[in-house]
Amino acid sequence: MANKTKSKLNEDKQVFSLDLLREMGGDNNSFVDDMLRIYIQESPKTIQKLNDALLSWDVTLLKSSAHKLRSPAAMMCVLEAVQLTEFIETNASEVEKKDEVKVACEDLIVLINLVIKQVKEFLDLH
Amino acid sequence: MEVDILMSHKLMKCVLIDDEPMDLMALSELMSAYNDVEIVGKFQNSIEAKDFVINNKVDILVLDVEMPELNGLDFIKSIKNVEHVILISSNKTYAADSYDYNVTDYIVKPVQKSRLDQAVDKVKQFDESIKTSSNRDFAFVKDGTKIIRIDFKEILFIEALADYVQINTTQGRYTVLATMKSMQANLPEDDFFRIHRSYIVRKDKIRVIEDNMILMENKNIPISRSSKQEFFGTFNFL
Repeated sequence: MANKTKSKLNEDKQVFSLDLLREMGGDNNSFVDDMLRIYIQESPKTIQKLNDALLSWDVTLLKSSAHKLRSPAAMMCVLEAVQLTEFIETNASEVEKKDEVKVACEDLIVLINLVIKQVKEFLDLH
Repeated sequence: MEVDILMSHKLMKCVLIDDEPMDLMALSELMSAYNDVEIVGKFQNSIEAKDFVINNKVDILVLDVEMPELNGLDFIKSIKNVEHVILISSNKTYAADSYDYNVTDYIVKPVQKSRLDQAVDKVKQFDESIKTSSNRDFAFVKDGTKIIRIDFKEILFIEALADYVQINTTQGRYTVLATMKSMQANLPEDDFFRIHRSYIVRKDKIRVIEDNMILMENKNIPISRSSKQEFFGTFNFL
């Protein structure tokens, strides 16, 4: 898992896609907006839990927080975030992988925070 | 916790359970597209959902596996009155386990319309096969991932096994998630007799009865005291 510090991410590039949400919503125009609003409402809470888990190295909370972020990330087509959540869930219990999991958590937090920021900007524009 | 309960009268009543709000909204959007499916409940809390499912008629249950209060697999174990369960999860790892719970389908998140179409089609196909077999001498049962036709005349006896029933036939044994009560209700009354809390037998397959035991296929099946008189009353003795 590569370390993605905030400086290494290209914040100008949109990291999410609405393709899957639009396919789900069909003719329901408000569906995508409603989903995005839930995303920016719920994800920060989960990121906070992941951050707390990282600081206290609470493996159970690490796994459950990563798990909670996975499906919304998949719906937003943020595949890198999906891979990071999978990595965290699979390896958080492995003592020898603690450093890699820590890096993955940090990467995930940076990435999801960027998605949240971009989604907010998207909603402001529309 | 937000709970949304709607009552209606459409053909297949469906309940959605997922602790993740985005997934629940996505499921709701996708399921509401089916004209013959009516969403009667949407729950983020599986404990609240369990109360609703136990107390209402539900044809299809769509639920997440990993939930904090009561996970999807334990949820299925705790309910018996739902015909079809569609499990959803972010993990493929539960797929194998789900077969033990007799689920109709297992979908990996994010749930896409084409994949949900397949699952709903499975439900409809099964229900259609049940309809066409009613008032006939056979029925379809779900044994793991298989849907099997069972001719009533091939049934020897049915045994209760905790949450399941085992249907013993001349062709083999099938383990089905069902209750003895539902089995009894769906079998021809004249041909079958519930001789014990845990056993239903096909009367014309009985050859030997000894000491309140029916000897059938190397199995001694007990006749309960409460059903003994009625049971023997159905026989013609020379």
